[in-house]
Amino acid sequence: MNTTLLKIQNLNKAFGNKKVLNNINFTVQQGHIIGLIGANGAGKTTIMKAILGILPFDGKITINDKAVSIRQHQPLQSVGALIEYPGLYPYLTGREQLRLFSTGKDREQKVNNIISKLRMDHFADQKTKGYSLGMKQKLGVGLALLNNPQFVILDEPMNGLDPKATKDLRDLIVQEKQNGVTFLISSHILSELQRIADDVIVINHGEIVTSTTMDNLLAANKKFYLIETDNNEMASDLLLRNNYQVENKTALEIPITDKFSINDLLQLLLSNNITINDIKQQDGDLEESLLKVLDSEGK
Amino acid sequence: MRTLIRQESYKLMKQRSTQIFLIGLFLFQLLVVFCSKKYPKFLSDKDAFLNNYMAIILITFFIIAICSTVITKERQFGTLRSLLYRKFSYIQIITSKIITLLTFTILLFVGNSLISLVFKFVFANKLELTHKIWKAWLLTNLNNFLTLLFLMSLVVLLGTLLNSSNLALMIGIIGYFVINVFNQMLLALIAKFDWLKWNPLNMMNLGEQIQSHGFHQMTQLSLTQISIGYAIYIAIFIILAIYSFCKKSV
Repeated sequence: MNTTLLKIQNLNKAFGNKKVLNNINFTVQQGHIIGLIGANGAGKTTIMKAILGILPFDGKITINDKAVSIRQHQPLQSVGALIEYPGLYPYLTGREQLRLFSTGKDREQKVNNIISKLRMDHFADQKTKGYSLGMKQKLGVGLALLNNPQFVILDEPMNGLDPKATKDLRDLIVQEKQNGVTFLISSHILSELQRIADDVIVINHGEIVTSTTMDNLLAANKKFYLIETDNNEMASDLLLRNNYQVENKTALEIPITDKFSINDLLQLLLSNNITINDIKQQDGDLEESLLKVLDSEGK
Repeated sequence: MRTLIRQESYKLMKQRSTQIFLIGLFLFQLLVVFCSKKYPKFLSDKDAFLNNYMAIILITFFIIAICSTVITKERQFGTLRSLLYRKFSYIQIITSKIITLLTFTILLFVGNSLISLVFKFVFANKLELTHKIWKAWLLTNLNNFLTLLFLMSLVVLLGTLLNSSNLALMIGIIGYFVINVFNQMLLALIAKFDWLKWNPLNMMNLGEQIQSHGFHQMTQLSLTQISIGYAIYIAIFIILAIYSFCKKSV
């Protein structure tokens, strides 16, 4: 059974006369990974800051049915977060930084666990003032996950991470999700979100453009076959006459629909003496899907 | 709140400047002991002991420095946000900082007084601890503490208003001298304009007045009046500091 962990109702925020969030409504189910997607300045970080009660807003935000506001932070008890960039004390080592924010029982064990999970052993005992961007980012994620939170908010967590560290973080997020942790993640590296997010919220100019599952969003840019023949124009006409969708006549892009059969299609082409030079299957891509969604919004 | 105070104390004690200060303070007091032994005409054993071997000079500068930068440094490091997006409210965060600073200052005074006593017994054992000397020593410490406490509340307020830790530190230190000079000038003016006696700087003389009852002729306030005024002004500065902290965007 799905349990609502986060509920946002009629969230509005303006900085002076500039409205940055306009009537945002969405819910987050426990144990899901939600990708928050949008261009720079779309309002992703502002939504995250509002959830964390660090800026005043109009509307209602609840975590586990308890309202959050700039004055009410109690519901954030089991929330971990990394917003924009990790704020670190330069005079502390990574381990000391984790020790500082570790709370509850077995504090030292929590510190050691997170160092080992994020493979920070080789730099955990160095002062953070000497850290690279990637090391800082890792420690920032470590701080967010340190106290075994139920809900984790990560703003661009892959920033500055090398491919290996990105994969480690992705695996860690999936692993934590399996332990019941809920994630709200914004990232401009859409391929990363595509691999891990269950649901997607697309924001544009402070408004939700779409709030759907990752599968649904990817369906907006369906899988298709790219077929090259010795006579693409003739092949295209033939396919259109036989009720196939051909989206791009020169490249013969043929979307894969529910009743689609590649055998039937190939047979049709061959029986009409069309030679097939090349055939490729292309998967749906989040970036393409997102552009389509944003384009349709702009129209 | 206990978690926050633990965290604030951890940060304070892990700073290199705190560690250097604590060692430096001890060495400075030793230097004053040496000077009082070498040049007793300039600084007698009694005066050195009564003034805790001049420790208040370093303590005042250090406490002003940490009070003025306690918020601005968090802004500078970008750590204020990570303090705030937890279960703790803005008020709890700033209150924990103030409590930590106050506790540190009290412990510093107590520790420093104990060291001064040890120094007295080791280096000035001929100085007899009469009732009069005990009283004078305790009152001097109380005077220094109350004056510093007043300055701390003012500097914390200043720290919440500024964004740059260097600027806050500079204004804090310069402000300390300016306040002292102004205070002397104001005492002269109070004699002419009675209403000036209610100015906040006059309340900073509470410790002086406790130490020397005749001082009420300078402040034009009774001990009760100056005590109440002192408490009210500190409360106003702290409330303003909390308000300013809560209002500033992160």
